[in-house]
Amino acid sequence: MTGARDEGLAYDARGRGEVVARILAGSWLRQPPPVVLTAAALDAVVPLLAAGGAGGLAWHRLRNVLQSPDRLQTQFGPACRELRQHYRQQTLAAVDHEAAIRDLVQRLRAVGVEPILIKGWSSARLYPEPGLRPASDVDLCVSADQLPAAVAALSRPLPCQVDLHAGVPDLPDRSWRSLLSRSRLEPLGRSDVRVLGWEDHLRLLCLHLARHGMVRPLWLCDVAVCLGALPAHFDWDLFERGNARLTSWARCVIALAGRLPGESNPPSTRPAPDLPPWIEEAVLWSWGGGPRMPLGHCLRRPGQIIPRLRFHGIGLNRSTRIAAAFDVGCEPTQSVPPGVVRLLRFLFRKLPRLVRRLVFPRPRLPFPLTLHGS
Amino acid sequence: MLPRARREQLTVHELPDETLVYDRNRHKGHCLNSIAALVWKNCNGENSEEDLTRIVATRTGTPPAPELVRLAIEQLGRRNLLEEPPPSLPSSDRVSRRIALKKLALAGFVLPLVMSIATKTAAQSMSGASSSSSSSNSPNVNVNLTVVQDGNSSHPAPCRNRGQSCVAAASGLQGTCCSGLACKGVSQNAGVCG
Repeated sequence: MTGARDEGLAYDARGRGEVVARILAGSWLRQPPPVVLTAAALDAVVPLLAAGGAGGLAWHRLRNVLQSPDRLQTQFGPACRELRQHYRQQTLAAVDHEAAIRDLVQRLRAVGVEPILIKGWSSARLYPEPGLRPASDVDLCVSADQLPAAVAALSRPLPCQVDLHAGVPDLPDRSWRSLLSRSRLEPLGRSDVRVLGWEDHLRLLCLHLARHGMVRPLWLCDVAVCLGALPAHFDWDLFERGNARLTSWARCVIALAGRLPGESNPPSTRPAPDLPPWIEEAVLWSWGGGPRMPLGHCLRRPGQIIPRLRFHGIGLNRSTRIAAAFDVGCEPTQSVPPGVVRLLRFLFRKLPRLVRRLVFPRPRLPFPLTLHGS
Repeated sequence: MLPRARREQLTVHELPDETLVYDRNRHKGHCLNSIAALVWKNCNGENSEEDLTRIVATRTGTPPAPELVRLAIEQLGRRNLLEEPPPSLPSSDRVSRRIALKKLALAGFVLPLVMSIATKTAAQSMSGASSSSSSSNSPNVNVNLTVVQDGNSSHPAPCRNRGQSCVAAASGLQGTCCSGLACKGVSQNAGVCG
């Protein structure tokens, strides 16, 4: 791609999305492939990469491409310094994060609760370096009948934000018993942590990404990393077993992982499903447009309300179209007008949820513990 | 002097070309370049500055440069990575050292560098928005740097703000919290910072 075209693309939301995809393609590999990029394009997407937690991956991709980091910084200046800082921050955070996970799991096991760790570290451990994927909160799943004991065990000062789930989210067509039976123990320092089996882990990543409208490129990288790490005995039938609509969304995400940040992805053992064109377009637009600002955030910052309305109004927020289609029960291949989908989603999903929360508010816990599915 | 590196309450991660250190007492992150890291690692309370100069010269294959070691020790001391801060130089010595360092830099020597990394404390991260979805286009990363509960010690998590629960008491260790507050009103393994 020529430099002039690169410059033009960098200032268009879809173009920025393309640059993000280009930077992240293969960035999770130990030796990422070369990338062609101008300093202007990089400058335009650094805030997007940072906000999406992909700063470390971007640094890794750019660091290994050129011979010397000094030359990199001479050419790309402040952008690379910023990416390098993200990488350093994420590396330090990862070390502490692992210690926090061990502490939390130990607390739960002390009261006879065996948790399953999902997302976060269960994806980060597949990357070649700890600093490539940011460490944020800890998602722990327990069976519904063990939830009160788990809450009691965690109801004292926590080392980090914890999301405690009754059952495993995004896998409604799998029972807790079956998930537990297929789960694995992975070493973490001097102890071990239970994570989902490969088939369930990949399905969870795909459906979680689809539910959130594929808005975060880092999550798609998680899918690509997982695909590259699948064992030889991976059971695609098991992966696809369950709700047919959810399976079609999961296959759609896998197809996307191969098309966007997946040029270096090894092929799976199944033929790649067709990817509906509107999804790829929506993803690129949303990656280039930046993260969506939640409504609650706007209400605390009245000056952001008008820009947010503009963002929705001129259709840049295309990730919600994916999320809405997923939420209301559409197949990825269905071309329902976005307005209709969003209206259906509001009437049948968001409004009942809002009413339920107003009538039955969630208990406020004194510690950074969020309950899901209780 | 015989500088000694601080080891307690530090999380250290070595990268190929630099060393990252997180100070759990002060909730600050630091990045040491290769020269600074080499000096820090060899500050064992037995090596003098001359010894350190010799070590750096041997490992890097460069002529001995005591000003580099002195600068490294000063930077490490300023960031509380040494057990005892080094004595400060008189102003006349500082000027001549500055000139010497400039000459070394021009001669191609790599100067030691200890850079602080902007981080967020665990308390600030937990009291902020959820980290699962970013809600801002700001380039600042919301890094929730947590307290390490390593297997060898039961150091308390840092106290948060006045009026919040005192983690030190909950961990079985009472007394002055790292942020200067004290645990008061301890009951049922929980206290309040005051």
